[in-house]
Amino acid sequence: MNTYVHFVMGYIVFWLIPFFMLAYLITKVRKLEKEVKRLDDSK
Amino acid sequence: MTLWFLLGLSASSLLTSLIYVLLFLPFEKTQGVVQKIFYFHVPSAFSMYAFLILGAIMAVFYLIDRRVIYDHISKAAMYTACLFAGLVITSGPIWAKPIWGVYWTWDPRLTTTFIVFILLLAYVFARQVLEDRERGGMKSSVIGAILAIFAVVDIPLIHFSVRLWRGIHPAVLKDPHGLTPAFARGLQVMIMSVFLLATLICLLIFKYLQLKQRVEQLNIQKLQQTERNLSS
Repeated sequence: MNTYVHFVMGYIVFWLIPFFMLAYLITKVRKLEKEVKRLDDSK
Repeated sequence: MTLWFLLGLSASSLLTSLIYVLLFLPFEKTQGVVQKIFYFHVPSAFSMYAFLILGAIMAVFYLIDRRVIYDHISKAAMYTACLFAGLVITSGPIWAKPIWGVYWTWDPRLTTTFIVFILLLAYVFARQVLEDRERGGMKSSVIGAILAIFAVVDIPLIHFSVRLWRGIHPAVLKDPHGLTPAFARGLQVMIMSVFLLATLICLLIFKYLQLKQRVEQLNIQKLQQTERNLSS
């Protein structure tokens, strides 16, 4: 197979895995921050 | 605030480093363009080492002191190490196919890295399954700590496997003529950028764990207050 295909595949993996991880973590953290604020306000 | 600053810093540094290694550094003579996978394969491996060591150190601290913060740091570091081990184990075969002709071979370094990846996956699954059964329990943390210490023992084996068992995996970093100054510079900037990215991911996981604990505490407080109100 063409070495360019492997090069592109490699960089797609490198961008996709951390990108999805970051996006997932930021969403989770923001959701929990809102939850903490809600619970703190309701005290 | 710090996290957003780190996110911006990490994104800009990664982008600049990638532009440098992809556009400004020449192609390697024999391997061609596919050699450029090296610029994130090696930094990912270093990040995996660093966060695995941090995870194991914090696991030891947790076993001695039993403070939840040590467990949270250890867990965040181990999850980060698992992610970067995943990057190493997928990018390696993508490079290997055009160079060695096969995606995978049971070379000593590949085998030892694979073992670490399996141990890290075991860590992640063990923590998830045990925490689902016993929320906030100590069993998951102790088993996790033992697995973290067990996994870190494999690091010297990965590192010295090329020298010990003479595999086919390249060892350009130990060879004085292995990297030209330009390639070494490219590798250094990528190591810094990938490490920054790994730090950011680790901090986000840590923050997530802290917030999750806070929500659980607040829910318990709320429940106790409701019970008090009902009984009075």
